[in-house]
Amino acid sequence: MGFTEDVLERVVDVIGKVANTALVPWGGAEACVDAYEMTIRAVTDAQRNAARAIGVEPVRSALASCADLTRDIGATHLSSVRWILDV
Amino acid sequence: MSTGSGIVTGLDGRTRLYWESRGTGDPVLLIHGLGLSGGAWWRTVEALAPSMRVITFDHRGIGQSKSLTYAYTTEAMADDAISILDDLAIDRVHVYGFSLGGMVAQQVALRHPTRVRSLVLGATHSGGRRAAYPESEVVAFFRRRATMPSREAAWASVPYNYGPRSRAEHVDRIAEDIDRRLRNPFNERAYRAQLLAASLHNCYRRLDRIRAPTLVVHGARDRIIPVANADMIADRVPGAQLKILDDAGHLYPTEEPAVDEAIGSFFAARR
Repeated sequence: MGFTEDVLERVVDVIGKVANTALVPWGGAEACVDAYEMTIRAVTDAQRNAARAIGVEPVRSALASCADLTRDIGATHLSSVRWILDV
Repeated sequence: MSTGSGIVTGLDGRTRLYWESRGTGDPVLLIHGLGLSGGAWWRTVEALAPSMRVITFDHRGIGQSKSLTYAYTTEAMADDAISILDDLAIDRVHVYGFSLGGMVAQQVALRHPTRVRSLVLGATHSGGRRAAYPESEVVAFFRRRATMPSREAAWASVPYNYGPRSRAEHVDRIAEDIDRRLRNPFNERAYRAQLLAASLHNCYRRLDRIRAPTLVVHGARDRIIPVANADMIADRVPGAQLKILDDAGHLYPTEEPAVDEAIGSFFAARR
């Protein structure tokens, strides 16, 4: 492993430990990340259900695209946060 | 033998997903890897279709499927797979994902657990900090590959895709694979989007939430996704079985065709 990667890994480790400790009052890092994931799923599903219920263009397409955007931005956040916190 | 094909249009009105179905019986959904169309499964379809309904599809942006944007996640690709099952009115399926498709299959099992009867994860990894990543030479090749002419790229990838035994003894099979692969035009933007999806994939810590019976298959000579990932996944998924193919590289379905029979038996035992 190169020097830069080594330093980066140590920095990420420290951030992860600090965040894990800070999140203890809210049930710990894993519980917080799971809650965030459930929120993203709920918001995505609500937008998708609204798109199906309205069914009129261009509202349906716009709502469906918002749902996809919410899911994918959320997925990117979750992947990064899980990497840092190792949860 | 019953065959069919169709296109599912996404709620956004722009995403279109092409699927094919062959055979009758218990349904199995095959999810393929990076840059390949559903047609890349031809060997496995031949092996499973006599006893199962085999469904393949082109990921968004690949082959006959279209995408609204070129920013993908494995979560989005898993939802695409489920939208195809919804369109076909299939409630539960066996799921077999290979390489990037294996990452998508993990997401299917985690996001839609009631839809998965059993799961086969082939030559894949779980992502995250603990995954074993390939040598930097391999990573550099797959980044460079996006800008190479298709035929040159297909042959240049042979040392990475196949193990030494196949390269020495089964050039004919490798040539067949490449011939099939070149039938679909290569979409550079979709390929890059899939690379991004694979690099963002991170399921390691959640693998213990998978409840479907799982079989992990991997070639011991895999240079693209090191075999250590198979051990990691099998350790993490409750009750998972592990099958390591000693002489095979990444594209083990070409190198060890008998494995399709073993996978068919795994599905048959979980009807």
